[in-house]
Amino acid sequence: MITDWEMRRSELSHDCIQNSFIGVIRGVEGNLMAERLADPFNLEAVKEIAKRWALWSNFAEDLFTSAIHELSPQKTFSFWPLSNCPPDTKYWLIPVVVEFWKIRTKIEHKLSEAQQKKDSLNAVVDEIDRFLATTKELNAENVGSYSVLVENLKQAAIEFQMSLARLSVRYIAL
Amino acid sequence: MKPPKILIIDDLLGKEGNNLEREAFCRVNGLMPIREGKAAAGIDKCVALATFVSGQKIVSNSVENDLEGTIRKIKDGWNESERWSLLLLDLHFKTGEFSILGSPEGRLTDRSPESYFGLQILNAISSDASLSDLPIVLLSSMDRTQIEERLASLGALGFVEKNDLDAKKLADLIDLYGLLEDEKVIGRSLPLLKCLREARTKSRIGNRNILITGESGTGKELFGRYIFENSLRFGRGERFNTVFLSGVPESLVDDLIFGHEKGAFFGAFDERPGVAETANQGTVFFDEIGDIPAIVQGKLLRLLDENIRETRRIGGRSSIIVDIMILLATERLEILQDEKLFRSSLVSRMNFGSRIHLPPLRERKDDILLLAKHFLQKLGIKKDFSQGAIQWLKSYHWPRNVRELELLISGIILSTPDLNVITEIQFDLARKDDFRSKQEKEDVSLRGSSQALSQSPKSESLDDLLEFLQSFDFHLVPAGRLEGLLPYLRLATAKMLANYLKVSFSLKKQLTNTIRFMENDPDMTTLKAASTILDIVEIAGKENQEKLLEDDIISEIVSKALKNRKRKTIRSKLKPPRNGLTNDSSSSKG
Repeated sequence: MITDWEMRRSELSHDCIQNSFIGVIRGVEGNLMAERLADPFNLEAVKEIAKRWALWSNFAEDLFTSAIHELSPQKTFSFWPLSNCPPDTKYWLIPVVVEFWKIRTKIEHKLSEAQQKKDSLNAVVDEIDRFLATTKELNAENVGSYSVLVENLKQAAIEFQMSLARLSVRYIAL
Repeated sequence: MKPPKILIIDDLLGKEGNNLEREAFCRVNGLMPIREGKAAAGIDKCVALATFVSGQKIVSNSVENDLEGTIRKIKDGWNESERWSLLLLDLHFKTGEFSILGSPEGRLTDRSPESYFGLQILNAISSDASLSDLPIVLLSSMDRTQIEERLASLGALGFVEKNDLDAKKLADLIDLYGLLEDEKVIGRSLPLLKCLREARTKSRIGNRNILITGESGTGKELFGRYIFENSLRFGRGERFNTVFLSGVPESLVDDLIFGHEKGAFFGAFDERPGVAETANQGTVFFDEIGDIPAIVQGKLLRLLDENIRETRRIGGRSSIIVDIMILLATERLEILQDEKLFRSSLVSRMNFGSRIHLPPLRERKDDILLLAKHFLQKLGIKKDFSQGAIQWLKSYHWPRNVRELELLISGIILSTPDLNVITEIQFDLARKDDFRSKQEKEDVSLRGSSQALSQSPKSESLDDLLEFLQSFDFHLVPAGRLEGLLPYLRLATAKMLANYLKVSFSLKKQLTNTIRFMENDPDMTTLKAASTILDIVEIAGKENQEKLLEDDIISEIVSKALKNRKRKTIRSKLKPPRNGLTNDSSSSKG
């Protein structure tokens, strides 16, 4: 059964980060390698994904905040047969089960890692934003530093996506 | 050369061909996006022109798959004048209402391999006969292990991960699976494009012998060159060598291919290498391998060995190992399959598995007009074809294929240089002239030798003629030309039969034997033979009989037939003479 949380994680990871974010950066990289500096896509596309990132970043934040509640076994106490458990047992059993689950899945470590990768990506996006705010076109002088920024952006996006992959239900269950 | 056109069906809804992800995909893979039928600027050296189609539509704020619309869009670019070279098809299409992130939320069924929308599209394509030749490669990173066999059985040629693709890989993919035109081989019909793809694929499989079959005039040598130019050997700067075996005296074939040592035979004053040696590090194209004499077949066996190719000169003591690609062509496959004429070991080395069969021109209807225009251009002539001429070109059965088309065009240009528009009448006249001159040549050769008939390589054109006569479609003839046609048809039929009679008579010399030969009837009698001859003359109709009898040989045959009949009739007191044919009319010619 794929949970709603898992669907949202997958959407962020696959549609937004892999297909859009990394896909667009690969397009820009292809242009830079082929020295197609005049193509407006080089700056406009990155500007657009940096803008979209603001939305995706908030979405990721919500996802991380709700992760333990949505993924841990505490939900199973709402359904039969554990729903029959007496309230005084539930009172102590649920926190114990959740704690064990957290230890076994290392979920907190994974969430903190994902958070860290998101922050790193944020930092590179900020840097790119600053570059784009002062750059009207690419030329021989600025293309070197832009290429480095684009490469950093791709690397940060890949690492963030990998941290999201480690939060997938299939991965956590292992 | 014009880049190929590919179609990409994905689930990226948006303005067709104009969204960020697609734009990026184009830049990564060297694609030029097509927007509203025009190529967009941006990519200088592009691998292909790309048309993006979303397989989906929005129905009251929800994204839904659109199978009917998708198939319609595929068909729009798959017709006589344009064809997709390749279809890249996504597997997983997300449906449902838009999420906060802007893409469809997705439903559980979207993710299930059994219900992938890409699979449904593939199913629909495979069950539509008009799309059966569309080359499809799946472009997806989704799990397909459960359905991989099914995808292949539905016609998917390959799979590629979207994020693994780049311009080089895509170019290789299109080259391997795509239907590609080539500027040196005029045409864009499906049979031709499939044949070119087969040639490209086979040209790259190691050092295998490739057998090219096809009717006369289909361009076997041109294809040989195409195979060579697509092989790795061409990239290494190697040469293409052609060996024409047709008409070469048996004794010279051995020398031509293998060469000789000094003093190997009377007249061998110097050593001379054969083609097998001079073509080393290159490609040899043997034209009409069916003509290879039996005495050379054993020697050729070693040269056709794909592992170690050996050649030995006449009178030579040792063999030389050569590195060549061998292409073999024939229009008479049945000869190669005849064990009496061809060593089976040689045939097995010819690699029937690596055979490429060239389609005849009548199966390449979409190419005929293109070729006709090409031949005009080659002659530096600017002319148009009337609608009637275009129809004629498509309905004619082209027994001698592209070569015949080229000859007809040049014949028309020579005979009617001042006409700006070529009509069906010019084609009719040119074909008759061409047929007549060919017939005359055959008559001369037949008169010269009684063995000629059995040796004639043109027996298949006779089959074509019979088929053509029986299936000629009078619906295609303008109504005005049908009026009063019968006398001409009768004369043409009678003349054709009379020509057959003349040739047979030149072989058998005696009337009854001639008709016995023609009808293959051992019980033929003098009276029956005479009646048959007179029947042929009667087919011409009264008004045409004189024209037919202008031919001295026919006149002589008819005269003899009449005499025979009269003699036999008197003897047996049978029928009176036939109407319109009297001893007087024939004797006046005789």
